[in-house]
Amino acid sequence: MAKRRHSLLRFKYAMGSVIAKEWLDLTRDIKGILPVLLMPVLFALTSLGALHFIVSTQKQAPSFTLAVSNAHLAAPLIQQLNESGIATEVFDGDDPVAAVKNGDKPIILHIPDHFNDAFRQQKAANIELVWNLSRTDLQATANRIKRIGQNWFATIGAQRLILQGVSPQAAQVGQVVDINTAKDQQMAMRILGSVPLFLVIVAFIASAGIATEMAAGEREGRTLEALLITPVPTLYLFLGKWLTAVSLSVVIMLFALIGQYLAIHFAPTAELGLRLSFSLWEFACVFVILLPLILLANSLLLCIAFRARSLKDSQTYTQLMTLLPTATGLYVLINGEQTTLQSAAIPLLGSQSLITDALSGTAVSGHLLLANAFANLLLAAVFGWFAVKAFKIR
Amino acid sequence: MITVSQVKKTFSQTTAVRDISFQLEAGKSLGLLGPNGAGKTTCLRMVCGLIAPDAGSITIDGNDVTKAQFDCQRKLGVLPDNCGLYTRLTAFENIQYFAKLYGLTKNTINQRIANLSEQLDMDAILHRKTAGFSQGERMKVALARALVHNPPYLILDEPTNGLDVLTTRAVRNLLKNKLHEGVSMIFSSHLMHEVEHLCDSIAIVINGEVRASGAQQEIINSSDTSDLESAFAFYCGEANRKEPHHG
Repeated sequence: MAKRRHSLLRFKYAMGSVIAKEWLDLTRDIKGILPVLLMPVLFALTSLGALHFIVSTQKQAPSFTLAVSNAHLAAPLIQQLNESGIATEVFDGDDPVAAVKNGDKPIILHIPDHFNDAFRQQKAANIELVWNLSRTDLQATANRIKRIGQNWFATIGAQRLILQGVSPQAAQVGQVVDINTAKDQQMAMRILGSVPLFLVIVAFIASAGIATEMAAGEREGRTLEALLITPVPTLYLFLGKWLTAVSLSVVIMLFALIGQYLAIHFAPTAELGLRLSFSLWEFACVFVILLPLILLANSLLLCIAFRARSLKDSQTYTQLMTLLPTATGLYVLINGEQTTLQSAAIPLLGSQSLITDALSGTAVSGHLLLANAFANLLLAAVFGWFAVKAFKIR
Repeated sequence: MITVSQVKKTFSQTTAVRDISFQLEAGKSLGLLGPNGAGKTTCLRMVCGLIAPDAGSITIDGNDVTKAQFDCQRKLGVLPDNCGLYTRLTAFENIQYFAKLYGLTKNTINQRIANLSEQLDMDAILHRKTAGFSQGERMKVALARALVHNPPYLILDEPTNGLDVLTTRAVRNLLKNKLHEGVSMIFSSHLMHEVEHLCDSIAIVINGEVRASGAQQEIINSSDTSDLESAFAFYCGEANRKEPHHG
């Protein structure tokens, strides 16, 4: 029993020696560590830049003049558009569709020649809005013109009903109205949807280069044999390397969280009509969600690096790993639903979903956190086991 | 005592070791002599517990290497056939790291490294990063790394390969000193004169088998030749005649 305890102590001492050596090696690898340290700064600047860009596009409403063909046929409608703040000009060309296709005009409101006749005869008097529907930049303007037009038609219709002694309410049975349940913070998170993605990418790639160096580098540098001849179980050698990678990831993740906190803090979100006040508690909660993911990511990276035949092999495969959080991150960004037990139990995806919830100000329940942590840790253990098995001479 | 008994090892379709047996008594040195690809390195890796034999047994002081791996490894100082070093660490830090993995304390480590540095004439390079070291300098660091925990057995896989004359002499003198101190040694090489200089007994390994073993003179006599090189050539030729497909 005493011998067993003594052995365990010696193995722990050896594990500590591995960590100390790897950190020493790491601090001297300036070329390797510099991009990793820059990553949180770049992500913070990206978030800040994206927010500034959104604000600037909202503030600088481009001056827009709506070209109208046959404007004289629907003068009251044109007047309504002008009163609603849409400037108009006469389009005197022959073919509005060709003019839009050629890019001469972005949008043309075309009043057909038969408009007046149909209007007088109280038949459907349609007007045409000619524009390229694939242009998302025109979407808001086109919708605004359509809304003004529909309101004008509705008003005319109501007046006609009154003249005929019928209440306009009789024609309008009801309408669907939007009631916004989203909090300011949730609305803001739709804009800041890249933040969880950035954080998960950091968890995955912060130690990618280091893991490769620590595992595949031993094989490439021909130090593996000497290392495996020492009387230390490979489990402890692996744990030493894994804890080094994890500790580096944790440090980089803290930098990334501080960076994102500052980016959001200094971003002019108030100018978007959104009040954002992420507390340190919310960031602490995000860190807790990210911890099991960091353990999983480093197990996976070391597993790949130990199984790789060469350093280059390992670098190729670990680079591919960055696609994993990107794919799940995009899903979470598009999906936008609150985390369920099923989604929380999916490693990686669950973490991203929970981070989005936490930053949206939605209460994250303990059982979801536990389910997510358990799934991530289980997978981390599986990859760790495979890594230890691959830690040998071939 | 190290006892290797009828070990075999096959890697997928290739049989690296067919049948190797030898014994190394305390304080003695054994030379494993064989051409490239004879199975010497695989055999030594099995002695070190890096790979398990498919058949046969290896014991160190009565402990089976596969069953008491760490007890056995603690007694071994190994110089592998390639001496990779951590290039961002200094020579001192390289040796210190391995000393820590063997469980040595800080004071012992410093003292041992100082002694080894003096014996191997490494003072000038001890605190330099090992990136850019010459083959000789790398070999000295690797040898110091293998000796830092004062092992009773040394396993050296072609230790003087690619070394200049002066470094070879320094390494040879150090190994002779170790032999005088009672350290046992297995020395793998394909260089006759190295084995002649350092080994009490020799085992000629060809195509994964021990073809001849014993004292140097016994091997020469058994082949009816006049020197070790001729005896080695004789056994290589005999192996090729028996198994022409091996080259």
